[in-house]
Amino acid sequence: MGREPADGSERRGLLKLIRLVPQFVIVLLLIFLVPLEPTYIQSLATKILIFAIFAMSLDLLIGYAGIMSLGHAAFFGAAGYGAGILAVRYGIDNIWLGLASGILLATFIAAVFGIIALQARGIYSILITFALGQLLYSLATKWRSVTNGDYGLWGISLPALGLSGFEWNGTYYYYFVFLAFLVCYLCLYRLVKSPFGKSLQGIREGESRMRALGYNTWLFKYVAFVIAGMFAGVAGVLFAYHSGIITPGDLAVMNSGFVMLMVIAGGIGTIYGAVIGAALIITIQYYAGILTADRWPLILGGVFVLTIMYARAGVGVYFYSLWKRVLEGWKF
Amino acid sequence: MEVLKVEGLSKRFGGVYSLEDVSFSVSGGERLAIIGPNGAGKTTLFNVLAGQLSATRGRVYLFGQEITNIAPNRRARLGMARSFQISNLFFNLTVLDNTLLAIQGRRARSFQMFRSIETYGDMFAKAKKLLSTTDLWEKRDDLVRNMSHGEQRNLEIVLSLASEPKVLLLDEPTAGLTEAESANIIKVVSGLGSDTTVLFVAHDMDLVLNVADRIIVLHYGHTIAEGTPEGIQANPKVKEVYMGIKELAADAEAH
Repeated sequence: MGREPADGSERRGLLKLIRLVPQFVIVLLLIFLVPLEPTYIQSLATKILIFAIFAMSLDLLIGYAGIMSLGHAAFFGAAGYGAGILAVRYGIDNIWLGLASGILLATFIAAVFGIIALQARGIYSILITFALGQLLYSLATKWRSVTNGDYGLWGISLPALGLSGFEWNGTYYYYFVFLAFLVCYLCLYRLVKSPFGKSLQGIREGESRMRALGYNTWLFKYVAFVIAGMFAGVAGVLFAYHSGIITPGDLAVMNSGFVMLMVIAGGIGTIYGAVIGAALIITIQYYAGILTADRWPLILGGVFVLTIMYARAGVGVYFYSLWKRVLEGWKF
Repeated sequence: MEVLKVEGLSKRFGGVYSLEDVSFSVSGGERLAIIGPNGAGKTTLFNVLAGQLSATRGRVYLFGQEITNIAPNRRARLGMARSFQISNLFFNLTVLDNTLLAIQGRRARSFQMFRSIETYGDMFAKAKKLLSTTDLWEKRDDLVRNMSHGEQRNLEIVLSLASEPKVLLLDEPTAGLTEAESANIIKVVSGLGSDTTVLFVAHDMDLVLNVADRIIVLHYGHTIAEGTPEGIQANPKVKEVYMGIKELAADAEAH
């Protein structure tokens, strides 16, 4: 079993620090390298970070609480519409108000949907999340006076940050999203290690045991569902400002499946895996789109099959275990 | 003091009564063994008592309060805990996490979201104490799914003890264990204070005769005998059930 020697705690601390090296490198690259790159790379990186937040929120549901959802894009899209409508229809020029209202809307919808979706279990619960998501999708296509229907709500410009003399540009928005990503990552990372997060994992592993131990398991799943919806809302608002348009497709099942793909490709139940998955899928989507225009889903499908065959636990987990093996090789 | 009271309890699955009109009561600190041949309804009784199954008829009282229809988690909060015959553990979590979850079950702390579960000193100390009684402390960082059957059975007991229950239901705690492992479980169960009332299902006569104050014998969902270990050993009806299951079955068919 390899228990540590007497000075184990010191070594353990050092090992922990060294283990974090890849994360430090990634953060440093994100801070210093990305802004030096051309605009389209900055824009790509911004989109990756937004979808990383979205994917992490879904990982909390799938990977920790064990709740499958095919309607997670509903919260993402609803938040985007919330912020978009505020900006386009009401001309409210304040990013904090936009963020707050979008996130509140997503949280509220998650609070309502959660009550319905968690009545059932397993496959039935997935079907309900799917149906509820499609409900919002049809609302977005039909309520033209507000949502602009199938054309999507366009012309969402970046609202003011509230600093005098401040003008947005791509780099500033990238930094803004990067900060939001860091906050979300740290919050979710702490959450999954907390008593609450461990309780969710217990429910995933054995709900009947958790109930026998005194846990009101429904309430835990419900709170997790609402929190996941809230973080999806953060991503949704940032996405609407980033792309300047929000369409019914953003809250439809395709988008829910897209983000689920990121979680699975990166590694379920790890949080960091969702980030890697988002980076992988968005990058492939971008470059495959340039190569073959409308055949990028084919390439995406191929990558997915390869992941399942050669890195079933997820690409993020695969690299992480490689890195751990390298560390062990150094005989720490 | 009467801790648990069962009145006319029945459980039907389709057309079959797995339990029929079972009544008994348990007083504080008592060790009550439930025995009987396979299919007698022992595990069903535990499932109804702890709330995993709902009763078809009858009532269950815990400390004078009726609990027949309340959720298992609320029964746990009233001080009831159980172990499962087939290990019901969190297989992809570590031994330590399993134990911490069990300790935390009845605390409001479970909703804490911003602090690591392993930084709570009181829970950690308690987990260490619990795991040390069954030699699992050294394996605290192992995933449960990688442990042996015996170790999983030990952890099953640890989880049921972690909440410091007032009423503990143990479903075949020593099933499939080696003699030494069983002896350790018997030691742990006998070591419980008189503030814990214990009901247990067992086939293992070492466990029954060493621990039980009183025995209830179930057969096809009915209570056929109740008494002290000595009385039950001498009871002709019990002997018949255990020795002559075949004759009895033939007898029942003839009627």
